[in-house]
Amino acid sequence: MDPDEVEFLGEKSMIEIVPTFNSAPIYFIGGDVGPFRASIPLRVPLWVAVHLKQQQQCKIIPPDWMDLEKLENLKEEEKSNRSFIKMPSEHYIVEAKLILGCAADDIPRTDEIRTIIKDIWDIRKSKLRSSMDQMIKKSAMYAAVDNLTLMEINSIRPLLPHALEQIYRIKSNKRAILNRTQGSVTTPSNATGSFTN
Amino acid sequence: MDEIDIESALNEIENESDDEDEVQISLPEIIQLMEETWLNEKFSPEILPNKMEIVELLLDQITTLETNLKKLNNSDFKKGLYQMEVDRLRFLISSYLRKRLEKIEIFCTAILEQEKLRSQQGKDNYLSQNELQFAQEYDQSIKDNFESVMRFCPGIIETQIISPNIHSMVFLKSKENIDGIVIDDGNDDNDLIDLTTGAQVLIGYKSISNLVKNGDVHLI
Amino acid sequence: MLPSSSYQPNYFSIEDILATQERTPCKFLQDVPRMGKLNPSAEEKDLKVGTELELPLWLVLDGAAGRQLILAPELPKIYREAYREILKADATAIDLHKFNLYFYELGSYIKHFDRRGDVHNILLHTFTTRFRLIMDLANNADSDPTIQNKLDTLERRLFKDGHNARMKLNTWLLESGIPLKAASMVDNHRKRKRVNEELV
Repeated sequence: MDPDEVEFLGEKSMIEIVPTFNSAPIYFIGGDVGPFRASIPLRVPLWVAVHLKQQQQCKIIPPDWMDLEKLENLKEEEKSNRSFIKMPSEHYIVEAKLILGCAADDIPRTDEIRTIIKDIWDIRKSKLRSSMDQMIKKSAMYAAVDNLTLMEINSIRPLLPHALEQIYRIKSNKRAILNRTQGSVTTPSNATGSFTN
Repeated sequence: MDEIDIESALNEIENESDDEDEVQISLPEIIQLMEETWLNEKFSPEILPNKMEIVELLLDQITTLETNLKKLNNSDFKKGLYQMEVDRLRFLISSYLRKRLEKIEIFCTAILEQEKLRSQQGKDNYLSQNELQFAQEYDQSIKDNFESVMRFCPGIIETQIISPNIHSMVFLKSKENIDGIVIDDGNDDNDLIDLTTGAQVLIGYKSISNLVKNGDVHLI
Repeated sequence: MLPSSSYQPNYFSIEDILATQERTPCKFLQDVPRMGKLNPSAEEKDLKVGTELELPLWLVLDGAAGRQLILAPELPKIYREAYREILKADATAIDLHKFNLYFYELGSYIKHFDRRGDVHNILLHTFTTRFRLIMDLANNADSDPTIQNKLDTLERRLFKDGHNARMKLNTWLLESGIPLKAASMVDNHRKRKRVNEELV
């Protein structure tokens, strides 16, 4: 999937804004948004927030997790944990890109926040690399990926699934031949892997 | 005023859908379903049962909204936002329909054979009426072409059928608690796994194709 | 085949046609009348029993099937023990492209001639061992491009698909202004090493 399509899905996340205008609600097909009262915070889909921010019609309130101290803790936890920890948002990297991209003036210490999010992303990326390598080495045809966010899952596609499909082809071919010639073969039975534990 | 038009139009549709089904599905839930349907079609190797009722419903909504949009003043900031939502939904729907056409073109003969089998068994077809017609015409034109160009080896296109790889590896998210899914690892001794609601796994499509079709899991 | 799916041979697949075109050694088990021209080093009209030839795989497959075997196929040298030992020692150091352009595809046919399963095992071993090489190559935009030349066709396809996806993601990340500074990359590299060790 294109990263833009993952972004598209992440844009539905709800986020808090403070509008600078008054208006009746907007009746979207996907649900009502508003009413808007100047200086009164309300929750809107991220794509609406970005649009309003670009028109300078609102201030964006960063999500709770987008805080330097919390992110420091998260980074430490991610570093000290062998498996993947649960992220505070299913779309953290998309939210970071969009919010920091358009509302740097609403968020204190954006550069540091950017850097630390990238650090977390990189730590997880390196865990992903070793998990993938392990899975291929074991020829595991199953893995739990519970704490991976959609962009992370998408980042190992198509390489991991395609490599496993080729392993499957090699393995299942064997059965066909041996059925034709003689009995069955013993194969390692621990064909499962896990990205979470 | 214009917003009231839109609102009443929305309500009408919501009521309509209530009549058909006992279960009440709201429009936001329908959009959510459309997203899942799109992802399922995107990542499943084979063509899935069509969800044209969702597509039709959303297209009706879009048409109504666009008619009402014309009445909205251009200077109204809401107009741009309404348009954006329409564009988002249109993208979703057209990407979904295109993905299906792509599969129909590649696996045409195989799909038509399975459709025939389903009809004989009294099961619902996977293709919509329009898709079925497209598939038949596409299939015919390919066969005609092969017949004129490859006259020296007749019957190739009928006998050499390209089928999707149902052993493709897919990522899924479970919407239910599901017990005893068999992991297909290409050998005979297969392990079982259980899924809890919200679980995400990487697994062979063949093991879970039924669960995708009945909506217990969706692909991600 | 869907553009988004991985390689799966079918009747119309060029890769499959080319892979089955590879020369495979075999020995004739009976006389074959009027096929002498298959043997360029002899001038007889008929092909004699015991003749050893290298023929395209598709022809060998045909001759080695059915109730009455015409010929006995043999393993091409890259699948024989000496070469298998080289692959077992360090598959990542091998120029697989030089072994054969279709190492795995050809191997998937050839292994049917090997009842002990050694060829099957070496295919699986080679693929799983070299995966990390392909992954690193796909993830690294500015790695040595000549390494690509050491991949067989199947590996190269995996690399290309992986690399394209990686480039799209990198572009997306760059747009986000999330820094990809050289300094931080060196940093991350060190971290990566440490995490890997923990996991082993």
